[in-house]
Amino acid sequence: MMDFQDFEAKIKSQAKQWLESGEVKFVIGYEKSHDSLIARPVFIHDAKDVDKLYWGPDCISNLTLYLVDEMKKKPKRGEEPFTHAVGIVVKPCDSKTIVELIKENMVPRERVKIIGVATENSINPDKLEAAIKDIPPGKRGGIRFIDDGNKNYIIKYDGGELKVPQEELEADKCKVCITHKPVIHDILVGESNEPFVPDEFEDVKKLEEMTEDQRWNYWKEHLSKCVRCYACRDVCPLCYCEECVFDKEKPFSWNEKSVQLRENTFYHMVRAMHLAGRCVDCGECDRVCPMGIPIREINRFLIKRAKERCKVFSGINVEDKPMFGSYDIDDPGEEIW
Amino acid sequence: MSDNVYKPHTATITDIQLEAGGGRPIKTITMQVDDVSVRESFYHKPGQFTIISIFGTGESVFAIASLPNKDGIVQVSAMKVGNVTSKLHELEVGDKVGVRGPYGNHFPLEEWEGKNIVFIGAGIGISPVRSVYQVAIQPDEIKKYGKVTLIYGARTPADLAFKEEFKAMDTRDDLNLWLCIDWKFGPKGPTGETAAEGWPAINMAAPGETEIPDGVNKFTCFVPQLVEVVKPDPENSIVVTCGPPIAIKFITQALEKLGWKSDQIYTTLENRMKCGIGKCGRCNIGDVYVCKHGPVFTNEEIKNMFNEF
Amino acid sequence: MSKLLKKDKLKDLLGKLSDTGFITYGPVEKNGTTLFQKVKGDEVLLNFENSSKPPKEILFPQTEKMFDLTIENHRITGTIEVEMPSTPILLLGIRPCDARAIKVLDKLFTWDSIDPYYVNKRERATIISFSCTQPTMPLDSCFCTSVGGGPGSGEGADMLWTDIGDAFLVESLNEKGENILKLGEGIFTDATGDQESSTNAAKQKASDAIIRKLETDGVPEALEAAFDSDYWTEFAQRCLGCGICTLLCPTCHCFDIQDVLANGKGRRERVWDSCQYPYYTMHASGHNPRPEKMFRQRNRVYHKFLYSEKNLGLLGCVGCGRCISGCPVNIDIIEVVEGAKEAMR
Repeated sequence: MMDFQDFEAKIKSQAKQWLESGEVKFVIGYEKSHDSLIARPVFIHDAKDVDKLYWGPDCISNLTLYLVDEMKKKPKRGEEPFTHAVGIVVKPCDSKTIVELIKENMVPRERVKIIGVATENSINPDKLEAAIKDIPPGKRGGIRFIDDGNKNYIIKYDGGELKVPQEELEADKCKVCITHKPVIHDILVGESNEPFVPDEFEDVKKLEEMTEDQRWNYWKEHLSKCVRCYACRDVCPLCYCEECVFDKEKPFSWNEKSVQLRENTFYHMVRAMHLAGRCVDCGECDRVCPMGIPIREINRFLIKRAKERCKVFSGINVEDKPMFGSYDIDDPGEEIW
Repeated sequence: MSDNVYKPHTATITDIQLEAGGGRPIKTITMQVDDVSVRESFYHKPGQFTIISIFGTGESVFAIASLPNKDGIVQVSAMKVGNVTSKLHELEVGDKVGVRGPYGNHFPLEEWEGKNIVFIGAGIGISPVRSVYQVAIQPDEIKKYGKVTLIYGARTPADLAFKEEFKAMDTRDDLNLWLCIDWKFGPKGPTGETAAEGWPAINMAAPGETEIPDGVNKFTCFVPQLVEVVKPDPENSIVVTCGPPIAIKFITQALEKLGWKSDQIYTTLENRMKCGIGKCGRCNIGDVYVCKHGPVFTNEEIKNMFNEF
Repeated sequence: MSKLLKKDKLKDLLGKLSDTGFITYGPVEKNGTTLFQKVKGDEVLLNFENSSKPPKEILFPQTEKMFDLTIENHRITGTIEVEMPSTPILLLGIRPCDARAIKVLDKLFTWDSIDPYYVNKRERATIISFSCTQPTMPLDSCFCTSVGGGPGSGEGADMLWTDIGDAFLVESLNEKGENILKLGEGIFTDATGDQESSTNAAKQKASDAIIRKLETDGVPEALEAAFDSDYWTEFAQRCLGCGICTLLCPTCHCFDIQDVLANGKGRRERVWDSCQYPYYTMHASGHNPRPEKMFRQRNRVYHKFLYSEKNLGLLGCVGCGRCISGCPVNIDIIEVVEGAKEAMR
């Protein structure tokens, strides 16, 4: 059973301690606004603001994105390099991102203080929206969750509560997750004895069993909807290039801005390839897509290939070599896709 | 004639002049609209801009540098910085480009008759200023105004554009010409060395007190300091200035020290544009669209805008 | 007097309109997403949440060819204008907020100079709005009643249809609407007084169901004062800079123009752009007037609630709520605008 209120209290007190001691410049966590369905990112700079911090299964965003932003900041010419640390609240999947970021030298370990929170599952906002239709309008924002110990959420709202089975709300990524405990942390909040099932990539089979034509038709339907907002790229903590090839205008643009299947496919393929062997399946790209493109399915496909052919499984150990950043004489030599 | 505002008219390049070399060369390119029936619609006034197409590369915005004419002749001075200007620099006489416009408002020369005019240009900013002064200094035209002064500065002697024109102007006694080149830069700012023979230095701490040897009108300093040396009188006068945002800021400060009011100072703004007619967004400074409400503004108008340059 | 259209007659009507040359666009479901596409009859969604992408894309497509480029001896020498079609278009089932948004686009695309591509399509288009009286509406993020609209507003539309069970109550609002009634003669029947009053009740009920409110009084004054305030850094800190809020906005109209060369052919086209992207305002020299996300977010809010009114005489926000529900990090325009007012108090 997950005691979210207790976790929240522990997160607050740890954040307060770090801010008061000056160990961190600020803490990146979650807050809940009155009108939002799910929790949103918040930046706590002052110990007196820690009460804004929130914890619940609706803490979905992968906040490490903002950690990368902070690490990318450069001092002005002539000034000392930045050394300050940042505090961050992570779920197990987000903690895997930090492992990747450390492996790729984007985040020095000493510059991040991690509050790792044991998590059994996160909710899917679309499923949540459907499940709470019975809550009167105007009261759906700011809802709170309680784990009843019997695999249900008691959803509390102003004037009542609602019982919903956890499975009904569970995000797809959580079904194939391999750890309920953050893989890297400075302090661990909560624990889980929930056993997890080894990932057999059952979900990838759907795509693998399609013929090439079927698969192309499937993606054609989806990719033709893309509006090229690039939210899937912007939300990805591992898409941290200083200048993305799809933004580049000088000396020429590598792809057309026109929104058509050819250019959309080009974008999605390049995005996916750049994440092969790196993606930790935090699912943010999939969640933020305004057009409902199942981007995770592409990522999962690549995660499976990387594991099978290159024996790479991202986000587990900071000592591992990054797949694209290392050379191995026993490399299978075949393409991974 | 097509009424599609986005469709450029094909024009043929008739002349190309290399104005300045260096890392960011400047070329003045003259073109004439092919379709005789639309040539008259390209009649423009100083300060207006045009959008030139390099077909296959794209469009870019330029201040029109040519004298007002009804022959469809459009001249622009382009520094090689972006995709379109790089291609433009590769073109030869006889090549085809597209032009549309003219767009935007213009410098109200007709309102300035009887007044003294000071033209101040910094770097490539001389190009829009030139569009006005070359009209004003025509022998017939210059009589309409009081004293006409021209102040221009560039990074190095090689970066000075329109050299031949300035040589010719230097011999005229109905206008005052002042030129400067920048100090060489060291790690901590200007080094104090004189950059070239014949360009004496100015007392940077108190430019206004610099003694000017007779007959010298070329110095090593920045344009704002040169303004303090020249000391243009604000009485019954107006200023036309253009340059990089930082230069405009200090030129304005120098003028204010001399007692100029912000409604006496005219400048032309540039922002990224695509359509030129107030549809595509992006050139706005607050609610002011540079393409529609400008590009010519007084400093007074600019002061009332949101600070978003 | 109002007319009535039985739902099972919709296909007949669309068929008849199609016979007279109309191309109809309506809401359809595609892989779980509601989109406006060409329709024939049965596939039209009659009970739907609003479309993900606003129907403005029918009049102002995300990618639109402006003209072809002529290529002679491997050199591009000029342009060939595209033909402007004259077939009538029917925009069926757009939400009242999106119809009001078209009024903003109308003003913009005729602001001093005429945009031929938009105006051509606009003149050919007949707009039929569906009142938001279906059980799926309004959404939690809807706030049209705060910005001058309403779930039963016919503003910007030529006809307003209101769902009253097995039929639509049909109100014709102008000549274009009358034309549809004439073309559909024999398909429309007369509505009864009872049906009219139940329509009004349904509209009122939908209006009352909108919970989110934005008090627009004092917003322009607050924004005028707040421009240089630190307020904008706070919420922009979590902004991803993705542009969903602008691409999905029914009144946003910014575009980029690009030349495309492929397969020996060339064309110039325009593509939606967003003020949330750093390259949108960046000069060729590298100078950027809006270098940070906070400046770009601020521009979006100001454009909707200050600039649009000054330049076009209409508020730039119609309260469809897409930017609220679509934002991955919950930047909520109501909260932002109310917050600016609060910060300036």
